[in-house]
Amino acid sequence: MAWIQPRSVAEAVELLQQRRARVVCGGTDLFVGGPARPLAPEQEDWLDVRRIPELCGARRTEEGLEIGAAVTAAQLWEEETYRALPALQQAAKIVGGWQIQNRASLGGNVANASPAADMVVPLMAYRAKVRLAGASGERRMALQDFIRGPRMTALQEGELIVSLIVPERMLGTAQVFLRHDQRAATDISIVSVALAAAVAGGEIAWASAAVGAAAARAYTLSEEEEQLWRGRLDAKAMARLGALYAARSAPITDVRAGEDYRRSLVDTYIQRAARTVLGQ
Amino acid sequence: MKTQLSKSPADLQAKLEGQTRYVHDMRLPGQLVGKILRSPHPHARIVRLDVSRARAIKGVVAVLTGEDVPHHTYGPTKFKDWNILARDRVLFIGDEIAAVAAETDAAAKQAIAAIEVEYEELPGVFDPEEAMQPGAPVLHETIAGDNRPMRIALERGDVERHKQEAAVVKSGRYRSNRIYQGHLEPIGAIASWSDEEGITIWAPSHIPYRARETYAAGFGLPEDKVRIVVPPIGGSFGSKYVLKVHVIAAALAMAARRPVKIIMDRYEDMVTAHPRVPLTFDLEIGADREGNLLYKDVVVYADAGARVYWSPNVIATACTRPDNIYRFQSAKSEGHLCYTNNSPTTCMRGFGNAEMLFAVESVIDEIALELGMDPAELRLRNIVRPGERTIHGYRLDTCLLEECIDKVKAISGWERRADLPPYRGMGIALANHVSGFRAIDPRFDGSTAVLRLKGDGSLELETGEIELGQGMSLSYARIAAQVLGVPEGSILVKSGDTGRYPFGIGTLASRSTVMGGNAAKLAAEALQRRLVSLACEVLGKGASLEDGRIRYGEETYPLSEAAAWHRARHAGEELTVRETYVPDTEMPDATYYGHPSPNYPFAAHVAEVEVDPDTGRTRVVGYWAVHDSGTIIHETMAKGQVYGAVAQGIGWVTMEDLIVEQGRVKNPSMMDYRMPGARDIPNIEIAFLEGEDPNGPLGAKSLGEVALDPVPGAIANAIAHATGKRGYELPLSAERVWRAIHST
Repeated sequence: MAWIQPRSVAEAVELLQQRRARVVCGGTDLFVGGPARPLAPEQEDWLDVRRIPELCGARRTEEGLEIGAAVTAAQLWEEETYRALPALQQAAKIVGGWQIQNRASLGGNVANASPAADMVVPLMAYRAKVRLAGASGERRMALQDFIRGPRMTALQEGELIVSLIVPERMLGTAQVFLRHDQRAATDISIVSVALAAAVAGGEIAWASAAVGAAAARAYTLSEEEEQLWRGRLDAKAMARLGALYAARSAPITDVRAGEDYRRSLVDTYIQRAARTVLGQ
Repeated sequence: MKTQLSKSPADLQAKLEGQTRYVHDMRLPGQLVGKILRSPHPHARIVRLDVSRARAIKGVVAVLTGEDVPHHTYGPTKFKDWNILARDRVLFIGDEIAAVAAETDAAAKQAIAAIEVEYEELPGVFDPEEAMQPGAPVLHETIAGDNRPMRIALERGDVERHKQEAAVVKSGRYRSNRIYQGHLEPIGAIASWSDEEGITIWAPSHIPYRARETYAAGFGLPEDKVRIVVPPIGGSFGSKYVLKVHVIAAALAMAARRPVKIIMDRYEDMVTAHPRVPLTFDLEIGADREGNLLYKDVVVYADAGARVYWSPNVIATACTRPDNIYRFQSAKSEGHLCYTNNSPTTCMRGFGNAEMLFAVESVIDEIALELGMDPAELRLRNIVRPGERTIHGYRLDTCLLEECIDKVKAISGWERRADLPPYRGMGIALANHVSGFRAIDPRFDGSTAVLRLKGDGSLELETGEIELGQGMSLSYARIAAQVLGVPEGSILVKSGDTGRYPFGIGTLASRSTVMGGNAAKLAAEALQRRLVSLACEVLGKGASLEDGRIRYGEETYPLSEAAAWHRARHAGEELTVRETYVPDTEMPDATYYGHPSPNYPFAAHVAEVEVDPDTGRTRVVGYWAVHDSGTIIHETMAKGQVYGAVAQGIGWVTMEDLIVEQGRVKNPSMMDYRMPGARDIPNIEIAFLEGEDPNGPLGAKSLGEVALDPVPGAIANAIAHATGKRGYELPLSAERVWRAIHST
């Protein structure tokens, strides 16, 4: 087992073609799977992406804000750069505890594809894109298409996540991330909701929301259905939205919560998110 | 003087600095790694067991199966249903089948994986009431053909008559759940064997003498051929009493002729956990129109799991102790302890009393609601008073329960209760407990202390009781220091070695302060007398002991000189006294009537909660705890007991639940078994009403368990007050409260 630290995306891609290596960043999911998910076999190498400068920061582009895959949760909520993304900051601040936040990366949260992932939910609401690099060059795809199900992604053999791109129109909108959990800190989401909305004069021009932990993967409505967010949402409109998102959920019953309870929480938290961005 | 002596191994600072050495940190020369093969089935016959491949693995020193170990009848209680390793049948998931000792962790793991077992799965039974039905699979034919090793039936007064007379009757089926004790340090042990000395086990156990007796019986050895050394304990709350892991480590050490260490990881610890005994209560309480409680009638079902650990004592406590808080005119209890194919259950702080009080305090609030009475007033009307003998015979020399209620009302602002905003609620609950329990060991009760004057004038106090981090050593040092007038820091309290220290019944039943503390006091008094007579002998009549120094006329002498005087007259031997405290109690009789403890602590708690009606999530926003534990010997440690207990109770009521389905733990990790964090705990205001109890050392009564006993009831009552819906089943998790609110 070797621990490899490439210094560029090109070098990383080349190493991934040469050796059987597993991409790792903070290791907060990979190293603590417990008996259910044992560590990789010893002959497998680890490819640590934290020394690749391109993955460790963010940059503004014409498209919006491009965030490197190795940016940590702590960086997200601490650094000025991400002020335009308060929902992502709130999600980053609730992931695990401080020690976890210092290691856990945005790219890792996406690659792990847990249905209960926190930072994935605002990214979904942002309609973020994933930038990937592999032997045949770069490609990008919508996050919605990249995460295919619980612990399943469209990442191909020899590929790594370079960055997440948040569209320009999302920056600086009114945003919120809400999570229902069992205790007040260091917990795993039972249901979570992220909302980004263009609000002016108590009225919503457009909005995009995503729901986490209530289906095999975080989900949004179609852009057509999202028209329902427009306007001055009265109680009835909010209830309609809550019910619609709840109807689209497909929660499971597990040790943390029952299916019907999770569905009801989707309704509750969509409405709470709406009231929050409207300042109610 | 010698302040560094106060740094016992269990000292808080040592723990904070990482200096404390737990069993996990110990390593004996030649030590092997021990591992256990456990049953994956809740009930199965072992059809074939082949360890030949495991024995052939390089680095494997010993492999044991049920064929290789003795099969004596043994167990920690009178229900002797233990084995060392299973021979033909396994009774729960985690039941031990084989054990391996190897040079390395990897070899031990490999050997476990190489053991071949074929099982014939058998039908299991997982619910105590189903276990009692005819036709249910029988777990221990020779002990209980009906799966019911213990049945309790007691009645005092005429319950049937009071049922006729009662104007208000409230009842319900309440359930308390499996709680994982949540000890930070997982279960583990090191064992060694020598032909001269027998078995030595280094293991965190707070009843090492009972453990010694139990294990010796398991191996057919005399009791003193087992020695148990107790390293600092990293949390127990009842989980570290008498454990199979200790026995299996010893069996491996005997076979390998080398020390063997077994440390469970958190997963194994939780999969095989022996949690709090889950209890079901069919409870009914009746009162007259004025609010006088007339009777209490309860049937209790307890799930012992597949073997008896400490569940009999827990169900007996549940069936009796809470009755001694109120002036019930009659009381009836029926208890059924049942075997199931779940992992054996055992004791946890509160020991049946906290569980039953959850139900009793809930029903009393229901009565208050129906009568339109303030719940605190209803309680004040019915509580026991000092000087009384309770319904089951407890003699209350001191009882400040009335003052506790008044005080908790005052500090919590109880009058706010009527005007709280929607979904905010306040609840009150009371509790009692014992300070040691006469029936823990029917043969004897009490405690012994040895006090020794060292050459430098410092003192060593030896006790058979066990430091659990609760502050026992600090308390004993303070008691002896006060008697002798020496600084606390000059007394080193030593305990935790059955081969060296006086016999001790164990740190359970909240007994250490009063039992061991009284022994410490007697020893200090005896030493004082010895010192004075020694001084008179050496210096002349009229010598005395003042402020920790010998005084004769105008001259004073340090204790180091007295130590030298004694040694000069006794061939170098140190001045040592040994005193035993035997409490003036009465063993409960066959009907559970008696006076089992030297004294009884009391408490009144108030919780304030806010419930989110959309999600059912409860936040405890305020907590007030008022205690009558007699004289408080060490206020900091005493407060620590209350803070910890309230936090533990908040976890118990609002989130903690070891979920077991068909005998399988569904959430065996700290990620899925949620315990509260600092942000779930509100400000906790504590008041001690200090009255001196004549039977406690310096007037002290116990505190450790009575601090947890009222918490479930207080929070449950606050939630019911906030939501208008009564919670019957612990935990009152967000989802359960949500279901209650949205049920019609």
